[in-house]
Order: sequence, then structure tokens, then C-alpha cells
Amino acid sequence: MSPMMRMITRKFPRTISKFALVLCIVFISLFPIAWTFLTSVKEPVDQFAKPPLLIFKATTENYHAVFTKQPFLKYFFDSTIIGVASTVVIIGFGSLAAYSISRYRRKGKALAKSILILRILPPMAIVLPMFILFKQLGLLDSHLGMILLYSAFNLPFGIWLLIGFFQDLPRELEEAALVDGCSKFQAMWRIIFPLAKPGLAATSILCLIQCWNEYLFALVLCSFNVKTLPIGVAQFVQEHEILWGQLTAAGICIMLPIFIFGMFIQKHLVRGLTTGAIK
Amino acid sequence: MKAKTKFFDRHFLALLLVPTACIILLGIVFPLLYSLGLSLTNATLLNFLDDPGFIGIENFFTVIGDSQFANAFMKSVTFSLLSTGLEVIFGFMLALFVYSSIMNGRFFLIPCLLAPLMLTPAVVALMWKVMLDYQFGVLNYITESLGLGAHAWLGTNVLAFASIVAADVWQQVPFVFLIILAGLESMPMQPFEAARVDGANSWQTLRYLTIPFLRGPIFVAFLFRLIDSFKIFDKVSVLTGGGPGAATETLNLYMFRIGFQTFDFGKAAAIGQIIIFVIMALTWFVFRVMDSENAVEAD
Repeated sequence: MSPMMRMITRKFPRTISKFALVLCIVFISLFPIAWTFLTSVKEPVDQFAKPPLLIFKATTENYHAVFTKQPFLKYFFDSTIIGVASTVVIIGFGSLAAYSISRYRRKGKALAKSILILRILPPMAIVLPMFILFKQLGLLDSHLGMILLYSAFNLPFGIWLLIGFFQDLPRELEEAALVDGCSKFQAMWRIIFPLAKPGLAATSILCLIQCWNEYLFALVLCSFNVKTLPIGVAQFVQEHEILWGQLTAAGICIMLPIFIFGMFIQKHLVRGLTTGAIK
Repeated sequence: MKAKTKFFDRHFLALLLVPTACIILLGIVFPLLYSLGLSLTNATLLNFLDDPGFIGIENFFTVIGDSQFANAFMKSVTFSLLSTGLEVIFGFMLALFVYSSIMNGRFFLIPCLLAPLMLTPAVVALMWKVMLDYQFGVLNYITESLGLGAHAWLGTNVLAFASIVAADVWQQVPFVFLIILAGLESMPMQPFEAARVDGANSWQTLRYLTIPFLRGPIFVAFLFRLIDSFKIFDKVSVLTGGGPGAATETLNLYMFRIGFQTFDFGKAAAIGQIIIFVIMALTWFVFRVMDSENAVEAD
């Protein structure tokens, strides 16, 4: 046997078992998503077939129904408008605050800690007072109310992420600009912010996903005028438990934008998803 | 004009914090205080607009004496510990596997693992509901063809609880995995080379080198997951709605029921204070761990 062959035969079983394990991991993590997708493109007869069919005639009927027979288009619109507007507010104010916290020498740590405390706060704890306050202010069931609430509640999340991105940019950059006669504002606006663009973009997308996924506030504070996607889908589950095709089609439609945006910021995604836990 | 710019420049960093401070005071701190005040009153849906009566800490006694509260508290604690424990064990094993033996496949494997983590929890619940259906679910098909029989996954106490744990573990193992993988990648190499030279076997290396090095990341991941799973609402609400009976009614679902189905605002606010207290206690631990990690780094 040539040395090459010997190496292959010796290494072969290990490679195979490693490969099998990887396949197993990928299968477990993607199977529920794949199954949801398969159900969403099946006709009702095929959805309930036993044994479950892997080969069948695909249909887009369910997707069509979700947008024509069910008001999901409206939910999409509500979710998008609330998510985008909140993200704009969060990035607008949050980037200033995060820059400031990242530039403080001694106070920065304490400030960052208080941001983290706010980030950890359970939504359940403020949904009740919010309901009463919104009732008095007439903000219940309105886009404006939801935008204000999401902006305030997700602001700490955005700031926490942005602090990390600003800390990656050395202070010497602004110090050089100040020596050259820039004001502090100019140093921030013209030097640091352009360099922080990737971080700002990643944070925007993560805030958007955060708002997109939110459930409790939307459930309590909205009813007829405004309804976001997670609430729409949850209600759908309760009312039409058996319309699997449309249910799963709605589920896939909610996931799709998340995956598309997720691909854009793959590099920053890990950091964003584990925020708070990794410095 | 000059004085004004001087003021602006001197307090520049503080001024940048002003808008955020206003938003947080109005949007988070004020509601929190309001809720604290509310927990001391007998507010309900009927009287909350015209001055509900002050009753001191009576709500807290009522809540703590309530057997449903005890049930919900126990469910929350069990759920948090069980799901967090499983997530840390699986996440650790996964990270160790990927770190030690997957080199070329990472660009493919990691996105696959990230997918569940980003999903909308309500949609995750929907997906599991379809798979766990008694009559037509794919899981019952699998168990039946393996000869294990069909089960009412969401219909019996123990299985319903296990199902929400499974759905949460499925979604959150990647979170623990990412944190521990980052920890593994920042480990120094020299001690491992020294161990190899000294003839340590792989179990000894794991037990006496890897695990001690990873103590920080593991503990941080554990606490973060513990806090987050204590806050769980949407997944449980859509998947089981707290049922059957109150078998999966966690603290958040209990508070939601008291607050928005029986509309006993005062009592619900009191439950909210208890939830905040538990979470803040856990957060304090997080800070302790992070600070001691920093101290180690500084040495």
C-alpha cells in the first residue's frame, strides 16, 4: 500500500463519522424550517397525507390566499412602517449616545452598565403601565404609539451594540481632527460616523429584526387599526388551526425578510445576536 | 456666540446623552415607577382612570399566598433551569466539536445554526405546532413508525412542558454555541502544547484546561439564557397558551392572565415587581461574573 492509501484508510472512518455528525446537526437545525416550507407549498390533500409526502405537486395557492383572503398585506405594512420608523429613531438618538459613552474615560463603564440593565429589563414589567398610559393619551392601537414604545424600549439594545462598534475606532482619529481645527461635533460627524457606517448598518438591521419579532407589546397595545405580523400569525393559529397551508405560508413570509437582511450583515450577525454576552 | 460654542464644546459628550436620557426617563423609568405605584393600589379595569384606592403592600400578600402564583413561579423556575441547562450542555458540546474538528465546513455550518436564532418566536411556535399535531404531525408519524406510538404532545402536562422546552432549546442552542466558540477561539495555545508534551490525554486536557479556561463564557451564557428564558412569553403563549390546565403557565403568562383577562391591574403590577426583582437579582450575578473576568484579564 502506498503511504497515500494508508493515510486515507486510516483517516476514512473518522472523516465519515465527522461528516455524519455535521449532517445530523444541520438536519436538526434546519428540519423544522424546511418542513414548514414544504407544508406551505402543498395542496391540503398532500399536507395531511400519511406517510408524509416528499414528492408532490407544488402549489403557490397558499401564498396567494395569505395575501388575498387573509389581511396579511396589511400586517406586513404595519410591521414594516413601525419597524422602520422605530429603527430610524433608535439609530438617530442611539448613535449620539453610544458615541458619547464610548468616548467617556471613567464614566463610560458605569453608563454602559446602566444601558445593559435597561436592555435586560423584562417587557412584561412595563406593558401594564404602558397600557394605562396609552389609554389616557389616546395612543392605544395607533402606529405612533407603537413607534414611540419600540423606539424607547429597543434604544438600550441599539446603544449597547453601537458602543461596541464605536469602541473599535481609536480616539486618536478625533484627536488628530481636533488638532487640525475641527470642532468636536465636526470630528464626530465627519470623521467617526462615516467610519462607523458598517456598524450603524448592522445595528439598524438588528433593531429592525427586533421590532419585527416583538410580540407582547403588539398583543396588548394594538387591536383593530394596527396589527403586526407576529400577532397576525398567532391569531391565525388560534382561529384556523387546520389551515396549515396558509399558516405555514404566512410563517415563511415573515421569515424571508429576516433571512435576506441576515445575509447582508452576516459578518456582524454573530456579534449582534450574542450582544451583551460578549464584550 | 463665542461663549455658546465654548459651552457646547466643553459639555459635548454630556449633551449627546440628553435626548436618549429624556427618552429613557419618559419611556422606561416613568412607566416602571408608575407600575410600582400601581402595585400598591386596588386598580382594576373599572376604576383605574379615577383614582384607585391605596392599599399598601396587600397585593403582594395576596399574590404570594395564591396557589396559582406558586404554580406559575415553579413552572418558570423549572422551565428556565431545564432549558438553560440543556442549551448550555448542547451548546458546549457543539462548540467543542466545531472548534476541534471542523475547519473548512464552518462557512456553511454556522449560517445553518444561525437560522433558528433569528426567527420570530411566534413563528417558531407555529412551526412546532404543525409538527407536533396529534393527528397529522410529522413527529407522531416518526414515533409511530418507530413503534413508539402516537402522543398528544401538547395535550398532556409533562409532554406539553417538554415540548416548550424542546422548542426553546432548538432555537437557543446556537446562542450558547456562539459565545462558547468565541471563548474557545480566544484561548492561549501554549498550555495545550505543554499538556500534550507532558502526555495528557484528551479527557484530562478537557477537564483541567479547556473547562477552567471557559468558565467565564460558560457562566455568562448560562446567566443570559436564564434571564431570557425567565422572560419567555410569546413562544409559550402561541404553542400551548399555558395549558393543558396550568401545566405550562409560566410567571409571564400568569401575569398576563391577571392583568389582561381578569383585569386586576394592581395585582398584576405586583407580579410585575416580583418578575423585575428576580431578573435584577440575576443581572447582579452577571455583573459580578463580568467584573471578576475583567479583573482576571487585568492581572
